Amino acid sequence: MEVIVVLLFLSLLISGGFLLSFIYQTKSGQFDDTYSPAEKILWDDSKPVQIHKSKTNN
Amino acid sequence: MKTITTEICHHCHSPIRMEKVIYTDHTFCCHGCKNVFQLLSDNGLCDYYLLDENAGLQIDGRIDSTKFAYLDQPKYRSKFIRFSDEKSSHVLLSVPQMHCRSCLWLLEKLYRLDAHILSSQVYFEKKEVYIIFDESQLSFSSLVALLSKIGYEPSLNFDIESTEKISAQRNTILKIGISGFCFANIMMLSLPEYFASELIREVWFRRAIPILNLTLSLPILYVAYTDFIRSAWLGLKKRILNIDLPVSLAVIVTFLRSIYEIKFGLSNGYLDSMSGIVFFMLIGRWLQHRTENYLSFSRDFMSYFPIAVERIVEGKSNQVPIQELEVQDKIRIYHNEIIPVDSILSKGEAMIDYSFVNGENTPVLVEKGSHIYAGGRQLHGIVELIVMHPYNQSHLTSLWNHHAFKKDKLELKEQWTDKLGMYFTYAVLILSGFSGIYWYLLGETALMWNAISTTLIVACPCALLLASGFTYGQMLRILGKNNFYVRHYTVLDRIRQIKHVIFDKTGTITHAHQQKIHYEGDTLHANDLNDIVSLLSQSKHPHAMSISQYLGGRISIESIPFKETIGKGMEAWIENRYIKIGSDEFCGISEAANQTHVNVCIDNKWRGRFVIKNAYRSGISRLLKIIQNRFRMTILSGDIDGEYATLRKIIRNDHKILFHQSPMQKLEYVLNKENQGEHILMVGDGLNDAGAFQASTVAVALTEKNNFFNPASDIILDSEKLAYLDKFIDFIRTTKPIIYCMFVYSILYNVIGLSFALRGALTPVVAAILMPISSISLILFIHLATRFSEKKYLSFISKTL
Repeated sequence: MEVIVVLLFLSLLISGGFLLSFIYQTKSGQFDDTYSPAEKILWDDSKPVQIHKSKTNN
Repeated sequence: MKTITTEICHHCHSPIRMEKVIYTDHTFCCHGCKNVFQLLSDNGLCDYYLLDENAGLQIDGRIDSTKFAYLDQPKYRSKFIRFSDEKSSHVLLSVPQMHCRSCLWLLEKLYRLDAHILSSQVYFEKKEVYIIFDESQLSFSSLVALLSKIGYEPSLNFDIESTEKISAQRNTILKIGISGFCFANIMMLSLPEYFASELIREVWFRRAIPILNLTLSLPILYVAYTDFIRSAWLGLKKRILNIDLPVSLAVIVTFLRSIYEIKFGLSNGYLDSMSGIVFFMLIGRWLQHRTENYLSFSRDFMSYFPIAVERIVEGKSNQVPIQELEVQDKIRIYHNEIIPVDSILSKGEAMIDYSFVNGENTPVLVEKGSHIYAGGRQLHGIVELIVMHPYNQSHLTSLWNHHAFKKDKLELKEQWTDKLGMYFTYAVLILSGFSGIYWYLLGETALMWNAISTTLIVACPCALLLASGFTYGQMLRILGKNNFYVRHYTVLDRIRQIKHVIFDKTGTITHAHQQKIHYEGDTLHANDLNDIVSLLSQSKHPHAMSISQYLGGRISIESIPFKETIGKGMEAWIENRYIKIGSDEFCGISEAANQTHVNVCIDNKWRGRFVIKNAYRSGISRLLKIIQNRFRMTILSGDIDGEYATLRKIIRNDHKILFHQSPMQKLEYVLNKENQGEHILMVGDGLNDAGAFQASTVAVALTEKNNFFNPASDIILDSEKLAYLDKFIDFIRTTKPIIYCMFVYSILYNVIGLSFALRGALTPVVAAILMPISSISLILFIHLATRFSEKKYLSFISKTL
C-alpha cells in the first residue's frame, strides 16, 4: 500500500514539471497567438522555389 | 451593344470594370494588382494564390516611399522601433488587412522580398507582424512602403496599448492554469480519504496529505486574494456590494473551516471545494471578457485622417505629419486622398466627396478660393490647398468637443447579475443565521458551527457568475461568427432597453459605392449608346463611371477628342454627331427634377436622362418594415431629400424621415430623445454619425470588407449583414432568459447542497462532488441553450464571407 504514496509524490513531481513548463511557455509568449502556429505547421518549405524573373523592371 | 462578361482580377478577385491590365496570361484590374503579382512571381511567392481562395487585396491610392519619409525622423521612428542596434532593428506593425492563411504566409516570407529583411513573425489574432530588419540598408520608411506595395499597408497609430493587453492576457492564462493545476491535484489527493479512508493505516500518510493540500491551496489563496478579496474589500469600503463579496466570503470561510478540520484531525478539509470555487470563477470571468483582439471600437477622427501629407515650402515638397501643419502652409492632395485640414483651394480642380463626413451623396465641385473642409475625399486629380485651421481645430473636430464625448459609455454600472448575486448572498446569510440559531437552541453547538460554515461553503454564487459569464461569452462568440462584433458584454444588456431605432441613410441603408440607374426619355439606339459610353469612359467622374458601367462597361475605342467641364458635363463630336452629356445647366434645361440625374443631348436635342438613385441594400425594405412595427424608427440623413418619396412608401407616417442633418444635428436629435428616457439604437457608418453614436445607448457601425475605419461604436457589423438586424436583436434578447433559467437551475442545486449543510451533514466528499458537477452541467446546459437560440434566430443567415 505504501507504494501508492511513492506514486503520488512522483506524479506530483512530474505534473509540477509540466506546470513549470506551462508557466515558462506563457511568459515567453508562446500562447499569445494560437492561430498562426497551427497554420505554419502545414507549410512546405522544402519544395524548391521556382523563380520567374520578369524581363523588364517596373 | 457589346455585352462583356465580367472577368475577375487574378490578384484581388474583384470584377474588372474600366481598365484591364494583362501580364503573363493573367488579367488584372489595375496596375497595382499587376505589380503585386509581378513582385510575388519574381520572388517565387506565387503559392500565395494557392493557399487560400480569398488571397489578394485591392491596392488603393498612391504608393511611393516618399509618402512615409517622415517615419525616418527620430521623433516618429522611436514610436514604432522597439529595439535597434547596428545589426538590426525590431518593429511591431499593425496590419489589419490580413484575413487569411495566404496573408499569414506571405507576411512570414517577407525576407524573400528584400534581402535586408531578416525575419518576420505574424501574430494573426492580433493582426500584427513583428519584423527584424537591417535598418542601415533598408530604411524604416522603405520597409513600410514595401508592405504597402503588396497591399498590406500598416496602420500607423501612435498608441502603444497592445503591450499592456498582452501581459494582462498572459496573467489571466497563468492564473487559470495554476489554479486548475492546484484544484485537480487537491481533488486527486483527497480521493483516498473519500473512498478508502479505513484502509489507510499509516499515520504519516494521514498527516502528509493535508499538508500537501494546504501547500497546494496557497497559490489558490493568492489568486483569490488578488482577484476577488481585494476588490470585494475595496467595494465594501465604498459601500458598493459586488459579486466578489460572496465569493470572497465563501473562500475565506472554506479555508478557515478546513484549517479547523485538519487541526483537529476531523477530516482533510474542504480545500478541493475552495480551489474549485476559485478555478470556476476565473473561467467565468475569462469567458465574459473574450472579444476580438484586433478590432478597435474606440477610434476617434484622427484614425480616419492620413498620417502625413505633402507640404510645399519654397518650391520643395516633403511629407509632414498633419499635426505639424500650420496655418498658411501650402499642401498638395492627390487623387483619392483625404483632405486633412480645413483649407482653401489654390490650384487645381477640386471634386470633393463629403459622404463620409456629412452624408451628402453627390460630390461637390469647389471653385478656386473656396473652402474645402477636412474629411472630404478628393476625387479628381491633384490640387494644392492653403491651410486655414490646424488639424485639431477643423470644422469636423468641433463635433468632438461636444459634452457628449466626455462620458465614457463603458462605465460599468451595477449589472443586474451582480444584484441577483447580492440577493442570493443575503438569502444565504439569513439561512445560515437561522440554522445556526436553530441548532444553538437545540443545544448542539458542534452542529451549529458545522451548519453555519458549510452553508456558506456550498451555497456558492459562483454558479451565477459562471452562468452569466459563459452565456455572455457564448453570445459574443456566436455573434462574432456572423460578423456582428460586440465591444463588451454589457452592450448586450443595453440592447434590451432599446425603444427607438435610428438609421443613417447614405452608406448605411444604401450602398456606399453602388448606384441604381434608370433611363427616362426617348429610346436610344445602339449606336447612340455606343457613342455615349465612348464619351463617358473618358471621364473619372463617379456619375460618368456609374452610367457607363450600367450601360455595359468597357468598349475598346481609342480616346476621342472631347471636352469635359468639371462638375458640369462633357461634350464631343463622334461620327458627325454632337453629343452633350451633363447637368441641367450644362445642357440648357430649365426644369429641374429633384433627383440626381444626367442629361443626354444629341445634336442639340434633349433625348433623355439617366436618373441616379441610391442602391438600397438588399433586404432593407423588409428590415425597415419589421423594425417600425416593433420600435419607433427614424431615418436621419445628411443628404438632400430626393429619396423622401421612396422611403415614405415603406415607412409609416408616424416615423420620422429627416434630411439635411448635419453631424451636430444628428447628435442633438439623439441626445434629445435619450434625455426623454427613450433609449436609442443608432446604425450608421460615417464620421457624420460619430456624434449621434456617442449619445445613443447602443451604436452600431457598419463596415465594408476592406474599410477599417469605424467611428467609435459599441458594435461593428458587416454591412452585408445589416438586413438581419432584427434577427440579431431577437437573438440577443434571449440572453437574459437563458441566464435566469440557469440561475434557477443553480438554485436547485444549491437547495440540494443546502439540505445537507443545514442539517450539519455536509461532508467534504459531498461538497467536492456537488461543486464541479454543478459547474460543468451548467456549462453544458448553457451551450445547448445558446445553440438552440442560434438555430432559431440566426440560421437564416448564409455564412458567406
